[in-house]
Amino acid sequence: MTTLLGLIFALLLFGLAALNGNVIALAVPFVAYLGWAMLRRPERIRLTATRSLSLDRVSNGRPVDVTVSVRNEGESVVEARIDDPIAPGLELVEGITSAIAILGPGGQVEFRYTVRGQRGEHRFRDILVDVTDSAGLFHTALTLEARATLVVVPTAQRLRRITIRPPRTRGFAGPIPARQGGSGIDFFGLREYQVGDRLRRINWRASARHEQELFTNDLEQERLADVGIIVDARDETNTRTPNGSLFEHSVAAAATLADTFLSEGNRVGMVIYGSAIVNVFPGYGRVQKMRILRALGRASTGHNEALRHLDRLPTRAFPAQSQIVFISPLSRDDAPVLTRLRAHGYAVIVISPDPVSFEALWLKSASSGLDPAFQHTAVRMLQVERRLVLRRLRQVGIQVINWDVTQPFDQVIRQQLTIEQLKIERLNR
Amino acid sequence: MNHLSTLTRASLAGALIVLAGAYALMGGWAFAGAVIAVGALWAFGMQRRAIGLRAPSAVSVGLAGLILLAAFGLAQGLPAAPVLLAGVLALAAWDMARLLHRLQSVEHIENRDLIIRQHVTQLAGVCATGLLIALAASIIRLDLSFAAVFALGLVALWALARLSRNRFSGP
Repeated sequence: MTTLLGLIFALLLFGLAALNGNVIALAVPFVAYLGWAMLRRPERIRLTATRSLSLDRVSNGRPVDVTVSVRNEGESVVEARIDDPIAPGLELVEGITSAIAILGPGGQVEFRYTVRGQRGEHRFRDILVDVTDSAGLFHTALTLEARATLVVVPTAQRLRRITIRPPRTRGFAGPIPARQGGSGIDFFGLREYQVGDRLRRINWRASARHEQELFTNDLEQERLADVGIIVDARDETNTRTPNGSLFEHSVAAAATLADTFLSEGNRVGMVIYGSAIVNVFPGYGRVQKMRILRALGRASTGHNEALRHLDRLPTRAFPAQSQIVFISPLSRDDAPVLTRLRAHGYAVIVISPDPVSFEALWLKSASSGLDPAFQHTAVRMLQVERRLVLRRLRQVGIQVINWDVTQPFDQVIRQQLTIEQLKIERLNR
Repeated sequence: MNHLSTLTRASLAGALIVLAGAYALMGGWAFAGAVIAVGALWAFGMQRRAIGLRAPSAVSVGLAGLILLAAFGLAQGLPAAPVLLAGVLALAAWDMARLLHRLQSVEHIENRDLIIRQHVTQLAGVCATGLLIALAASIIRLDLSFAAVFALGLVALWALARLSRNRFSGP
């Protein structure tokens, strides 16, 4: 347009200066062209856009189809260039995100593409449309509202059964030993025979030692438990390196544990403690699993001065004496709060992705410019400090799993939880 | 898309041949060479990613160069008809090059053939009309008073200024 106007002005001025009508006549086709462009310019543009996603919630890395449709609701013919910017954090797998179309009244253009994304909540913004005349001289930029949200939830791994022993269980039969005699599988103790007891449950060896009394084997009841998962999303504790964030490991662990506990029939709730407190109230089954995964999909680390320490942890969200699983890289100030939880009667498991080894690994691979000897000493000091914090927690009866995130979670939990349980039992004796 | 590309090149070649030929016939070999040089720059600029020059700006520079050479030729006494024809062909080549660039910049084009056919047909009509009016303007002589010429000039400038303002304000 600028070129065209400039040329017309230049030819007119040059023609006038040279007193040459032919030069001015040379400007005529350009003026005609400009007039044609003006006539073809759409006056009242009424475009609408819709966007649909094949799924609005997917697991990590799974592709999603996006269909964008733009319709001309106006009465003039519109030539439009349509651009659909992909939401940040999503990767285009296939398809197209822009198109040019001539849309008559009621005309519609539709295009599709497939995206894949990392865990998180991805918002699709508006669609950008550039409407031009036939010559492409007059442009009108429009923004069509077609918003949608895609939540990419973490993938839950399959774990073997995790043995937990909360002090209090629920009234329904389940897989958790209830510390109460009754019907079950494992031996719990001996009691005097009562009318109605089955003969096969009489302990004949014990009964033989007494002349007038019979004894019955009591079995340990197995019931469902309440499990509360707390995910630490504080900026202060979650180390971030160019290789990634430690928080992603915490989220993956939380998803796996929630899935495992729920599939065993337990009632599971969750709290994400970061820039705000996100609470998923306890519940059962698939619906609860989806609620938890959705919350984890949206979770991100953040800073909130009021939540800098764990003092404001909403422990009332979980029933008294239930099982709490705290997933956190831990800071040195966290031990007193966790100790208090234990003192209140909760059974506490701490799963702690190791921030020291995580950062040391990156420092080793990257050229940080630090003296290697200095680096080595710093890492050792931090490890000693961390070991002290973990030891303090173990001393009060908390099961602590120190997770080097280079190791698979299922392997670590299987090995360390067994060892931890033996330690706790020894401590209780 | 290939047809459009061929048509663009043919249009540009036509403009160059006609204008350079007009100069050559009048003995202006240096100007004929300049026309070919500007045309070569234009054609080179149309190749995408050539020397980092953006295709639309190279094409616009090429059009400006050719039209200024044409205007200079008219002032030097070149015959009006071939120069006007060259000007119209250059305008058509410029328009089609821009359309080509616009179409190449997107991944999907709905009704591509229809867009191209409709555009080229309308462009041909506009160019033919413009050429006829320009030829008529160069042939027909009217004796107008200075005041009338001045008034017409003011109207033309006002119309152009209004058009230019409209362009930035949108519909």
